[in-house]
Amino acid sequence: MKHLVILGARRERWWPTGWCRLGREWDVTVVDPETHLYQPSLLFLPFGAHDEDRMLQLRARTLARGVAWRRKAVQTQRPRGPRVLLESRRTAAMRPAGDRHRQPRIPVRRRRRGLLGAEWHRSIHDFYTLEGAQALRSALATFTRGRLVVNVVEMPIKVPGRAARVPVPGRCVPEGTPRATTSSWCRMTPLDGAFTKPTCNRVLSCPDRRRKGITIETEFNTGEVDADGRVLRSCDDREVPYDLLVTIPSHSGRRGRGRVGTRQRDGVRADASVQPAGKADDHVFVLGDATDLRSSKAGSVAHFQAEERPVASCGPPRAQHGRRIRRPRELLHRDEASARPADRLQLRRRAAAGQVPGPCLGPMDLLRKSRVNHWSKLAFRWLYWNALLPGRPLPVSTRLSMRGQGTAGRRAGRRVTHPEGGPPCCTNTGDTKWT
Amino acid sequence: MAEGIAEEAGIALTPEHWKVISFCREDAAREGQPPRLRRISEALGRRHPGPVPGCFRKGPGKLAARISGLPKPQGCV
Repeated sequence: MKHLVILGARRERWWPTGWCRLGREWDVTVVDPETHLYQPSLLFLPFGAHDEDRMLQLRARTLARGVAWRRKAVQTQRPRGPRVLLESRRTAAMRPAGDRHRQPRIPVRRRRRGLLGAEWHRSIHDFYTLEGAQALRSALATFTRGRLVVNVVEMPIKVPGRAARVPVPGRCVPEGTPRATTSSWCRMTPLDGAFTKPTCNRVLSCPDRRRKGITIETEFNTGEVDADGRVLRSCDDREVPYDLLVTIPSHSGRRGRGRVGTRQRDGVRADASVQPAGKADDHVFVLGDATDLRSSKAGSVAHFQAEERPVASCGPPRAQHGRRIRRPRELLHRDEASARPADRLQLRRRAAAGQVPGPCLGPMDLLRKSRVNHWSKLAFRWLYWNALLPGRPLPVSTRLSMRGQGTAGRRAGRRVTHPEGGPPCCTNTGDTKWT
Repeated sequence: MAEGIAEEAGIALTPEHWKVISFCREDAAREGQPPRLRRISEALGRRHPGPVPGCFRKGPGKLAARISGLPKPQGCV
């Protein structure tokens, strides 16, 4: 029996457990803390739309049958030996023979440069953690007048869309209340637009934002935060005063957990473009936050990495060295392994308007607000707890289909484009050209 | 070429600028993509990600890539 150890069982790292359970070929051990947090709700928590009861579940309830669970947090990983050292300095019981596939988790760490102090969680907040979101909820409950600034310190961050949507629930406060009439919202970003992709900037820059008084300050490279004066300063000496600051600090991997035998880059595990390191990496795979793959670290994107990412063990595509490409799934199910092109992740795809999963019918729209989109977002939580975490197979292909995308399309006699007539779609157009 | 682009951007290149430019070019040749701000600042000995003092203050990552003759650094999805 082969043994799979999953360090940190977030969504993308849970995915392989479903295969193992189905295959009956593997012993699976998960090392993770007591409770599991549904992170998408962190956006709704500060605005009172969700509460903690719906966001947290005991780990035991999310375990598939036959999966061993160890609560101790991981401190050090030693990929070159058949052991994973746990916080208690005990080693996980691993069998010395056979294949082992360990998926180290190097959690996101926030560098709160210049932010920690007396004003932290008073007038300066983050919301990517449960305690941060709770503190922001308390602050918003008493915030009746002033200027609220949402600041992205540096890209890339985990789930950039979540940061972009912070002011959106804020717009939903009932009109006529003091908060709705006297607050102004401002979003600071180091990018040249509100979103990371030019298509999104064109299509989603809706008049709603102006009507609700949300302003965007672009090319703002945060230099320092003057907590006493409540002023945000950029590197080029621009100053933005705030009454309440919601900041998204830099994300990086944890250095102490980088001793996994492969190169590190920017504090996170290197992606497939970096040279390979030790031979032990053949059995160490990295998914999700810990990679520096140029894709979102959102669970909805990252769990496909287990299926699609070539050489998740942080080496270059082995085909470059005359060897075949390997994936986590390929190692788990050798009989169905096949070398597929490295571009299966489709990183060159760009955001496009249209409908999913099918053209014209939808029912969900891309780059456009719709009620179905909102319902599907809310319904996803049930799917998360009951299908994704237990590792149950989903009737959804991991192949990205472009059907319905890149064509403006019509639905119910209405063009699915920006109401001001912006470009409806944009596929495969790189945003790396200087304009 | 770099001096011409820098002049357009209103920057007079100093030795500090050239250190950043050299690193950007070398790193891009090695990695296949322009370095992001964090990588530049860490490589040049800065403890925290941020602009190198006196260099490219208006766009520490993007402006450095532009003057180095590299493509625009990519954000994430």
